[in-house]
Amino acid sequence: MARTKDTQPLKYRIIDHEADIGLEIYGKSLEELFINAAEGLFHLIIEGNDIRPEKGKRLEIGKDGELLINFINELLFLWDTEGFIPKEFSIKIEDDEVKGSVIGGLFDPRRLRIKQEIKAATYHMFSLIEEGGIYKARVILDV
Amino acid sequence: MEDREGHLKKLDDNRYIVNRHGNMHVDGIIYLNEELLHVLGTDESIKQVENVACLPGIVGASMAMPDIHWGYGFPIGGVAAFDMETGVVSPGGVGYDINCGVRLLRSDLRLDEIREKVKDLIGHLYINIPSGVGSHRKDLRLTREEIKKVLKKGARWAVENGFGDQEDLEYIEDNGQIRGADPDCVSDKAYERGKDQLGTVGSGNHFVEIGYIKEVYDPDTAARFSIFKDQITVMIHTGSRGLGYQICDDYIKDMIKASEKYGIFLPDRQLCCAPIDSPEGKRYLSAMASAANYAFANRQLITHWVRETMEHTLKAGSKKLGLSIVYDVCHNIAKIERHRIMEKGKVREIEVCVHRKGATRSYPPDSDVLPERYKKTGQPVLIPGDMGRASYILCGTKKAMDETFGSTCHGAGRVMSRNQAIKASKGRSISKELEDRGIYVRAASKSTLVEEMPDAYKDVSKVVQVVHNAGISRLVAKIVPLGCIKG
Repeated sequence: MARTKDTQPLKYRIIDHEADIGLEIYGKSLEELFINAAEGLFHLIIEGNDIRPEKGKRLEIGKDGELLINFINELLFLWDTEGFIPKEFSIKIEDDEVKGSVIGGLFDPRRLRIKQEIKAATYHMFSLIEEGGIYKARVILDV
Repeated sequence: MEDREGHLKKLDDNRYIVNRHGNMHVDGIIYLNEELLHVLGTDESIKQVENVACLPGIVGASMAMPDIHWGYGFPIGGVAAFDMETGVVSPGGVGYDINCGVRLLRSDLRLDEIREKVKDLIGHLYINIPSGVGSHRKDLRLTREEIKKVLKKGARWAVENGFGDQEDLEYIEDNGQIRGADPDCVSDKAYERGKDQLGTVGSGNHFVEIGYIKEVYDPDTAARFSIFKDQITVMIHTGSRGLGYQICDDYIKDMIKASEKYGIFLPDRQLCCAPIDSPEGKRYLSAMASAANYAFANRQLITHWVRETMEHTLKAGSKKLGLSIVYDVCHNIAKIERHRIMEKGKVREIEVCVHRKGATRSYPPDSDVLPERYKKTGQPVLIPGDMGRASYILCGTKKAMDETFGSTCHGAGRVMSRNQAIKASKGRSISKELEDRGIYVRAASKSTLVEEMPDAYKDVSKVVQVVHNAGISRLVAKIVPLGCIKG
């Protein structure tokens, strides 16, 4: 598993893509990888980390296509319609479904800044593999 | 540039061919000159032209315009037409921002009349026109029933509700209303995303820009377009916002299943598709038309607020300003059109589904669908550049009908990734640099400004020179920016 300079396991890495942007995401479990993907996604969208746990959301996401892509696009939907920023997840991935909940904050321009709009996670170059107990995924985002 | 194992060959000064090989059904044709080929950097986008050539029922060639760059699935700048009986429709061939497009307003104002007022104008436009993620007009909240009308009627809905004039509709591609829209093919989530975002510019490369006509290359055509030297113009670049992104995402899931169901080979899953005539294909086209109409209405509302803002700021009536639409073009769309194709040495006119993913329609003189005023010239083609250099007005040609299913380029095309742009801008103030050149920019996000800085794009002048030299559209005039608002 890739590591940061201070030897913490790396959660995600931003991939340079000519027109868009990508994330390479790591995790010791699928759940950890999904949570790291959410962190990477909102690192791209938001500047600042003062996100208060104000609101809870139930998550029930099915595999119609790719589960990770659906998960990211569901978070983008919540962000786009409510300004919801996830903070703490409690999720379980079983039978190709994400089930659980997330607590997060609502966007407040006094504390946070928007860096950019992400339209969607795409299937282009998508991969999710497990190697020696480490999950690794690659997602290209349309910006 | 690797020549893709000998498959990429120069056809002439403005075109390269990727000879059919592997699973390709047709050749790839890329409108490029040597200089722009070297700027491409990687050959991923050429690989994407090859991938599109593998889709069933593709006719003519898999094409790309000189602003080609690496997209997801289809290359940006891609054009592909599919036979109505054997061909497919692909949401990835349209993109997430369905009917992202450009509208140009002309005015009766001259540069010397407003040069000193540009900063003020940009400030007021920034207040009146929501730009950036999450911003919207508090005075425009639509019920689901009202959004359904927007999806059916497009720009006509806006005009019927007091946002603009009947005459505006004449100068919009498809009169601002694509037929076949079915609001019942649009998901609840798409409605939810669409309800607050009508009349918003959005983020990324979208903008509203004040500019002036710096040069006129073709005075007769310019006169037909009511364009003259030193004239003030306003360009609007935006699309269908979250509603379009959601529709694309919803239908990509459908199309992944459909591709399996119909046994379609996909070199990249983002190219997932369904036969045009299948239930899945028809449903997508109805949903796509709905999003396209939302985008037309979006640009119509913004036009109305541009007019209001300019009248108020310049304290002048609408007659004095003379702000009217030159044209409004889609550059992310799939359209059912009639084209002549060469088959076994014979020319045949057939109906095809033309995908333009970062490409603009370029219809010639005498096209039935053009307003009377443009029947002699061909349609105005609007090509925005980056915020620091220039944009261009071209017109459609017969050669585009003969070679590219009536299509041409759509913009400059990126040359730096967003990360590269951030690195290249370290220690610089992009807004100050632009201001020093007399260009005022108001952006909701500092990151947008950096990622969209002029150096991140190819020089659009070089792009339009290729389509002009290749004859698939003709240069009419050059616009230089004075200021813009961005997301």
